[in-house]
Amino acid sequence: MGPLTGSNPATPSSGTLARASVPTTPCPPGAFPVSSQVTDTVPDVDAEPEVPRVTPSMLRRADAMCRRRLAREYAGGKRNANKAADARFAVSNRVYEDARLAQAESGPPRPEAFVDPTDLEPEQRFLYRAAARGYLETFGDRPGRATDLGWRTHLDDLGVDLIADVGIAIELPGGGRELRALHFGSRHPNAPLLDDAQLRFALVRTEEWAPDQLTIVAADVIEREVEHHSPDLASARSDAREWIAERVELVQRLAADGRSRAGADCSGCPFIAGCDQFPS
Amino acid sequence: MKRRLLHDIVSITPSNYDDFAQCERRFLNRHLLGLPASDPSAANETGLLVHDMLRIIHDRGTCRDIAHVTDVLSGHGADTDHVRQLVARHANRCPSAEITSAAHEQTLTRFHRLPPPMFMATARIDAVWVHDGLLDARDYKTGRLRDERLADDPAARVQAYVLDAAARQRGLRLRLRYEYLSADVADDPDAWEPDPDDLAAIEEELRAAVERMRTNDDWRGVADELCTRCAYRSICRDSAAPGEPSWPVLVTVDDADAR
Repeated sequence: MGPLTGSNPATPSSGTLARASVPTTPCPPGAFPVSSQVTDTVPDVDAEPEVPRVTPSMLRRADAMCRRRLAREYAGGKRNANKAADARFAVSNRVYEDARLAQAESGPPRPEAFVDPTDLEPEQRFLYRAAARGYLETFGDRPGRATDLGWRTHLDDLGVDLIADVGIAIELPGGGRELRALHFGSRHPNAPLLDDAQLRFALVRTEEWAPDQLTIVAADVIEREVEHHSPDLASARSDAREWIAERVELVQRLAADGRSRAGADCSGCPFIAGCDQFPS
Repeated sequence: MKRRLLHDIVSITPSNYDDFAQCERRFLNRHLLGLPASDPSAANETGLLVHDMLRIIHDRGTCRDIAHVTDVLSGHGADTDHVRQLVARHANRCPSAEITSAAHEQTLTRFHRLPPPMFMATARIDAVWVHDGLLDARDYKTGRLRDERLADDPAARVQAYVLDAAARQRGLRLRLRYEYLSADVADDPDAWEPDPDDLAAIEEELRAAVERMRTNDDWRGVADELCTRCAYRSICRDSAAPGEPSWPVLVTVDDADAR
């Protein structure tokens, strides 16, 4: 990943974060995975008005996405759409949750916070144990206290919510701030530990919590790979806001078009109902 | 909280259906739980490279133009004897001289609504040539021959199901062919032209598979010789070849010294 340089004086440098972040709701322990239930209906996807939302993936892939799906994901109507599977996040959510618990109080992470998730499949438990070991190897000697940045930051100037869990936010003993972004061994070959979209999201989402100093540690706790980023916050955040604003404008333009396109985005699309590519 | 293993509309691809047909536990681990492989498997970097090179060669010219092929391969650092041979073996079978249109690396879709359960089938097709009233779809293979008949290959059945809709929409007859580019495979399997009865049977087979996914609460593995090549053999609940995962985080200093 290249360095983040340059700034845009025209980009608002303050007042971006106007609404408090929504606290992360801890994921309750997952039960034994079960099959999905719906077999013969396509729910209505008309949604109540919500604040438009963007994710790192939407900003990264907007140009290549089906514009109908992009429009609906941007509009935030996903809760009324077809339900998506989430079992693949069971281990990562559990590790994040337990890592936060392990540093709920000041000090190094407490290993006993990582409890074998006996409710998950045996293979998931293998992965959980390996990830917990990797996490403690990587961060076990770094004292601090975890805080909750939530999943959402509202940008008043753009009128959108940024949606992403950017990592485990740690307040270090000397007042420093550290953000730990984790991977669990499933990256594509040659994919970076932290791509530009994730980094820019992290910079903007941490602005209120870490205004003056921030270290971002991206780690694949299975593959034993670690990267440290200590960006020049003023210029990197300016660049990040500028990039996000440009990409949000692109998303809005493409979403306004809204034409459907059959292709790779149909797989897992929660908005099949009413799609003119698949008439009843 | 119970986690959802399946989307409301299940996604079927040649790859995930092939896994499901071979071993339901592998399907669970790879496609539903998204677990990283616990064991090394044969890298397919050459295969990916050759697919990319063939797409670019056809986008910008023809595979029969030696100078053009050399330019493309050189420009991408792929001008090796092995890659040249694989491209040459494709060129011997390429119908591009007779075509009226073509597409490369296209993802096609087909939605099954009724009878329930619904599913969305998608397939990324390496090359689709239109000639002589045919929608002639090709899948490039750089590995070993697995099935003598395409109709026996679960991945090919998904491809045929998805391609059938595209062929009928254009008033064309579907032909699916696997091009084995490695010199180790002397002859390709016969091209497959599924008839309407074949395609109806495939749709019902896929529907029944999705129905099974929805009612499956065990996801039992095959526990046979297939396990010895499986990317989850070390951690799989039902593995016939269990062991220690090769994840670097689990390698101790002593292990590393021993290697």
